[in-house]
Amino acid sequence: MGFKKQLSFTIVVMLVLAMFATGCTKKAGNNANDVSSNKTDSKVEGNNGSSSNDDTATPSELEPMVLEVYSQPANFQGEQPGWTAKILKEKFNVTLNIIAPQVAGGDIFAARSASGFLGDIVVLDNADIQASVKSGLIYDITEEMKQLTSFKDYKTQLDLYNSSLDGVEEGAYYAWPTEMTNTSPTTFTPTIPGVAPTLPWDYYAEVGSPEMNNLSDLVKTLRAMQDLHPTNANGDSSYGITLWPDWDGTSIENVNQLTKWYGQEVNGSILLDVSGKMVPLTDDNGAYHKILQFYFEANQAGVVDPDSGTQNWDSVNNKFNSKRAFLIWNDWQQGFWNTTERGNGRENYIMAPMNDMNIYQPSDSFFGSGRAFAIGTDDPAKKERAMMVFDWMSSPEGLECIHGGIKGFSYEDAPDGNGYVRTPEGEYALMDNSPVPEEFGGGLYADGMLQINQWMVAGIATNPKNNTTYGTTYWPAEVEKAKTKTTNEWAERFDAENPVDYLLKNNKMTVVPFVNVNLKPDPTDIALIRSNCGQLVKDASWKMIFANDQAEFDSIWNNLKEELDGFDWSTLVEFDTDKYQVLVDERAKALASN
Amino acid sequence: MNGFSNRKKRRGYREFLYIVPFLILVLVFSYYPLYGWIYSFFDYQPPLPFSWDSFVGLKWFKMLFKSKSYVKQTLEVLRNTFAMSGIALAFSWLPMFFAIFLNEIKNLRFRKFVQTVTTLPNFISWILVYSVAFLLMSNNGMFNSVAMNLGIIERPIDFLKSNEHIWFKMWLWLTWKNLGWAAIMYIAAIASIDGELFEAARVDGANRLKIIRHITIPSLLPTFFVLLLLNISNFLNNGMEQYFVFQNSWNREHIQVLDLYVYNLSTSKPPVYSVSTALSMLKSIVSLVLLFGANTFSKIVRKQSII
Repeated sequence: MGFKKQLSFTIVVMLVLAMFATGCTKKAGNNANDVSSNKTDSKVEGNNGSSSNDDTATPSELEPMVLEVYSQPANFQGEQPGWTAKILKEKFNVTLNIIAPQVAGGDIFAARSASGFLGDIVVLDNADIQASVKSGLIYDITEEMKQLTSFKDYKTQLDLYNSSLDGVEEGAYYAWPTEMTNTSPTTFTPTIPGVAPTLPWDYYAEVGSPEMNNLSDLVKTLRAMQDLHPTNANGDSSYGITLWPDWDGTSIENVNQLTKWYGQEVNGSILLDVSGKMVPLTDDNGAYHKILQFYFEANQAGVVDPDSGTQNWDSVNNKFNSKRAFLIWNDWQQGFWNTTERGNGRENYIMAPMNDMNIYQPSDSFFGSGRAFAIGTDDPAKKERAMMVFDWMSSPEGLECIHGGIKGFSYEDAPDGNGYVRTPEGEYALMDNSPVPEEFGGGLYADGMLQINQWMVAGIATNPKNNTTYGTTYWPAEVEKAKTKTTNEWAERFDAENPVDYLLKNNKMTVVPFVNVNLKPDPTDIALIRSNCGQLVKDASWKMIFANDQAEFDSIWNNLKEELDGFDWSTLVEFDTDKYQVLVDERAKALASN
Repeated sequence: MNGFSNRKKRRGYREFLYIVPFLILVLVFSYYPLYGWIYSFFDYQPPLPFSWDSFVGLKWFKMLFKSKSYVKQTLEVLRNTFAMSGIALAFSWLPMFFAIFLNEIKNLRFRKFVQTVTTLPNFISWILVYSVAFLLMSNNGMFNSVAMNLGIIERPIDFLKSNEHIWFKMWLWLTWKNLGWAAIMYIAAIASIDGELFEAARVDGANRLKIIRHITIPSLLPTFFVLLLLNISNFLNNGMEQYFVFQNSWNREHIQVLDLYVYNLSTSKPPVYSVSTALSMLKSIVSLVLLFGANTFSKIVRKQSII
């Protein structure tokens, strides 16, 4: 065979093979679409009481419609399934098709915005909301907004947010900030702080629930716990601490969160403290270094999971679910592990305070949580229908559904008439993702929750119908139920009703107003510096945690600072200091106004 | 068709029409994307559309070489790309020999079995490969558990975290995944060798090794060279999925290849699209240089051009 002939032969073979290869990947045909869509024999009664808006057409008069929802925080892409889908179908004859950049990849935002259409309903970060206003991707909804049931309850926040958007004329409304509350800018409603050292009470009590002065004592406690329990009940090795890298941004997320124990919050390249003072992330006396040192010492003591640097959140998830990790900084265990039964068996996870803590705690997200809902279509029919969904999502009726679940299945009226109480099924519905009866829409409970994964009003906001919260945790009947042997013993040991009560009594927590401001977006130069520096910080941080000795730990840190200088770190710090000054100013204003 | 003066021209036109669909495909999928290069000359920040205000000229190209640290970063990425592609290239004879030896297996059932088993990994995505790697090789993984229970090792060996021999390890994973697939082409080529050649050699008293050496390998060499040249033009495209799933803070210095660096930049928060486009353009240029270099080499050595 001649050379050229050989070439063409080879290429033909390759093309044929490539054809087969691509053919194989496409076979994942999707026939999960038939979500009980043509069952319109109304069975609404059980769900949410009757529809309150008399001026809107009844579902039978409405054309069926699919609304595209572009949701930044969504973890699910595709048609909204299950019981929420049923409610939306029956109320508004609407199907939500959710577009999730977290699933589809971040590039989808650039692609969709270039096409001029993000979605009928969009949920974006503040910076993207601002840019979308400028580029005409989201539309003026002033008149429609004023018609919303809950408009007057949140007018202050809506006015402030929309007036802060560049390019929005005065009095006009474009967006509805997420997770607003109707409490106050300085209130902190929950009884558990956002981040706190949390340990399994039985193990902690077993080692004598020692008083801990600082992080070194915490390491000792973890060591003692791990000595007694090197494996969980199944014989899998357990560790004092397990970490994971896949949440890291420009620094290690598991370090960032813990800096809040010491009154500082990581914001890009700076540490912002409770008083509004800012220092670079790489400050030798800053909390970032302090927490790295803590993890390093913990690793030296052998209580850090050696797979920390290479595992992903899924495998961490499994470890949390099976008590293979002791120290957890969030109250996740409420969902992963804690139950009434385990609580009475003293097995629940609960806060174990240290004396030198000063927890940086943002208040309720009164002004919103940093994202916003908006309308991305100017088709009048779609806009109208999208606003119906908006109304539902922001009204008490919808919020009871979103935060409470399915009345009659997952919760019911409390026997004493004070708010609601979860049914036995409801208590485990989320944790077990249990099946939902066909009359409520079938499917699985957790899958059927509103997959936009972001709420127009927070669960801790007050439900005007019964003056309790929307979310289940603080319903009076639930608070009573949540009292277990664990919490009772804990309350006795620490002489406080709950963790927040303890922290406030002992001056170990500072509540800073949660303000919702539009921060200056990164220009491309800064974004490049941030990306390069972030990589260096992350790599160095992980190496420091697993360093062989203190000398290596220090040398990586000093090396990092030197390398960062080569990538214009100081420019970035300056930029961030400037950027977050807005936040500091707004906080001062919120405090003064209160 | 009256416009054509003679049948030959008409036939030429008709035959041109046959290839038009393919030309369109090439234009759409190979040339149209080049339009995307425009991003590298603008300060593009989605969702804000392009405007001449954001035209920055060669700013991002200059930025890649702005200071010593930036140059070092770019060079490090290039070094990793060259090293790992180089290793793969240096071992590109492996599938050929694998195919030859596979072909020598007389038991048909066993041969098919081996071929299937070695081809199958090609269809597993890298993300699953990493899951398997994690289950086997992590500190609590199967290998370490078994070895520790047997008392072979005292402390778990940190395979995934270690940075030692990372280029070679990456090559091993790649080979495990690709070997059978890459051999298919050679198996097809062996099948197309004229059977009379083998018979004649056998009549002349050649044993199996001699047949391999004097018939099979020389017949496969053209295929080998074509694939080699195609590989060279793909030198910088060594894919990023593999390195993406295996990267961590300990090995990134040695595992971050050009494609991965571009990906990391364009998926950072906020994404740096313009700079990553500039970087990927750099890649196209290096690829072109390599391809023409290889072609010139082929012209000198084999007196034959491939382009």
